[in-house]
Amino acid sequence: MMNHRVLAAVAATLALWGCETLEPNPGPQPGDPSAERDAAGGDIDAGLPGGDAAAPREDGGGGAGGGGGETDAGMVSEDAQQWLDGRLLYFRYCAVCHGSDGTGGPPWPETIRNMTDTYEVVTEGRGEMPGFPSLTAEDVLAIELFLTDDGDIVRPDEPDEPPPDIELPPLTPLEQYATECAVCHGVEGTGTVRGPQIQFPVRDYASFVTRRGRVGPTYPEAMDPYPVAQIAEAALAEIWDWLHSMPRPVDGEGLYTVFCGNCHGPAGSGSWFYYESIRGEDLYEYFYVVREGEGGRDYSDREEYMPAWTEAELSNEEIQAIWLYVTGGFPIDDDHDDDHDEDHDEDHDEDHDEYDYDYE
Amino acid sequence: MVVDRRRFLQTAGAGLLGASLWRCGYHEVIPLIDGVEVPFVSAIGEHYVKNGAEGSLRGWRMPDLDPAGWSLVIDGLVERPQTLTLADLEAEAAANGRVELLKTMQCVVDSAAVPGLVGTARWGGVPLLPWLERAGIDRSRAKRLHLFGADDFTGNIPLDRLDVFDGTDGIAYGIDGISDGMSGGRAMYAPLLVTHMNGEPLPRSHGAPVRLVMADAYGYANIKWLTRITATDDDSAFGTYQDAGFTDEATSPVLSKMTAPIDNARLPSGPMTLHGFAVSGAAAVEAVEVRIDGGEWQRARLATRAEVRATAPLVDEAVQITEGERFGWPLRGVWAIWSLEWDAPPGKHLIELRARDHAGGVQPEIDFEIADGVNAIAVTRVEIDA
Repeated sequence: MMNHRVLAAVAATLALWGCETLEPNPGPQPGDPSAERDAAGGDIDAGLPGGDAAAPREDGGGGAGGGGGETDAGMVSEDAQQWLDGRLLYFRYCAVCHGSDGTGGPPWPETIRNMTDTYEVVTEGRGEMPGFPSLTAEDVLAIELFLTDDGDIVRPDEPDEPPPDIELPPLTPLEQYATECAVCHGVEGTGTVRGPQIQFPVRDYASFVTRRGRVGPTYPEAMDPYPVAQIAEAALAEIWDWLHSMPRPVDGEGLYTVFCGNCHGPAGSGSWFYYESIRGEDLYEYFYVVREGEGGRDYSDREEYMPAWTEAELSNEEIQAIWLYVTGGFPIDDDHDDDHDEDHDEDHDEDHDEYDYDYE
Repeated sequence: MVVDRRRFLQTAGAGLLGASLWRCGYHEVIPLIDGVEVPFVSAIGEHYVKNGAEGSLRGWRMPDLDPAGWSLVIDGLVERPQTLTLADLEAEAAANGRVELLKTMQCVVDSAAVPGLVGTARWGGVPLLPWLERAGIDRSRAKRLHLFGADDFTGNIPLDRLDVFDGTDGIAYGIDGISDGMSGGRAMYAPLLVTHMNGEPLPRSHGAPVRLVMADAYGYANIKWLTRITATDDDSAFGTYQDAGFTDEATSPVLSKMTAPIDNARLPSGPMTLHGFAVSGAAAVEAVEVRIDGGEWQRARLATRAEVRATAPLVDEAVQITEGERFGWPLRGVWAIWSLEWDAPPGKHLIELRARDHAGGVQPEIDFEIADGVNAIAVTRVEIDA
């Protein structure tokens, strides 16, 4: 049995087109750039003459008649085309088991070069070998021609150009969103059972969560961190812009959902993030807290951190609509922690004058 | 007309199974990202089984080893030859934790055209390296470990692959330190002595009670029914499949397959989802592209980590998942599940598929280098009814 070096040499030799025979010969050695190029499979876009996958070309002959490799017009002769098709199919379907030239490989160490019932075996399978029912009689004939050719067929010269540089366009930020984020946050950021809505994000905070990931009992799966190498800063900014371009809610409930609900829970009743109800707060408190925020930029402190929104980001009217939705206009004091609530009020009483909005 | 997705998939799956029923009992695995049906992790009964010595050694019989009587001899160029029992491995796992590793096992004769010799499981075991150190392996003289299965299948590990991974993933993802195969005392890609498959004791057909698992290598490097490891200064390509002509290192180049629809399928026209997977032992899969009827290559969508975790709870204990920040996604040596929506018009269609990995590997149109398997692009022909 051939060892792998011989197999590789045969394969590389075959790849060089100039081979006159299927018999093993030393071929190019490792390090030979031409062999490496072919092993790297650079033929993808340039395409072999028979490169139309498993479908032998009906127009492949070009009417040049048998025997010649290429005609003056550069057309490939019928039998050379058939040989190419056969080689393509043989290496795709057969070679890994039957060796580079049909004389045998590890799973089937006997020659298949003298088979007589090839079509039946190829399409139906035999023993451990699966059948390949999509191969046509023409395909099988091409494979047979490739295997039995003793060098009579003159083959076209191997294309000389280097393999094309196959560059995939990188994913756009929105494609990244669709790939990485939408499965949990929904295709438009409205959320799913696996993740909260994320429309109209607070950018710095949202970036912080994205970079750090999030573990919490709110959803069944933790959110994985996404490093800059995976989603660039600029891409993240574009995603935030896009999430800000969504139709803006016009009523208190909708506004509450996108701006407040992730942390403050259903209708302001509190959540795992911030357990205290905000249903008992008056409108002054809403204005104050929304405009000032809490906790600076200490994004990791879920008890103390709250973003601030400018009037351009969330208008006075919108804050009032949210407040009306949450409290019904009549604050309900169902806070879990009265003491804390009183402290909170005392702390900020003196500041309320500067938020003297007319909300009637 | 919109194809009933479930019916379509079932039909496709049934056809696939029919096409791939090799007589020695191979199983096709059908990974689909379709709700709870996603077998990102193949069920034990659906994971392919192929025994390398079966075709090479006449009169081969599958070993039936008694776990209580099993032992693993570590000898050769070591100061203190060891004879390990299953209890020793269990004690090690109890003390230092069992390493759970996701790996797509793939036979070297698997290819885009040959269905079925591939599957993904969560392999649980303990790293090999500490046992070699306890045995006092002579690193100044030993070049390789020769591995012996109870079925006479053999293989080897060069010593420099014991504790170092080549770091390709780390470069691709900008992650430092990933080449440290034993970081934090846990094996990442280092060879494992595996006792469990998907959380269950290793089944007989997968090498019970203990097999080797090499994270990035074809099946033939993952010796089943492991009974002896001999450190040697013989630096040749020792092993049953190496002798048969396959590469010594057994690294699998990037390969993609379409699992639905299958080749030769006949389907109703209208929107459908093309499904499949791509895997590379050399690096993580970077992209999968599909070309229909010679048109433009289109980028397929790869299932996200969250998506896989949501549908394949078995992955959660895997070291690559629990240490996800370091590994990125998709994972090296583990298949990436891809899909592409296609509004199929009536007629005959040719669907081509290729993948690339972060090491620069791209599936070729034709692969002449069969010593490392055949990874030519996948070609599927389907007929769509009016």
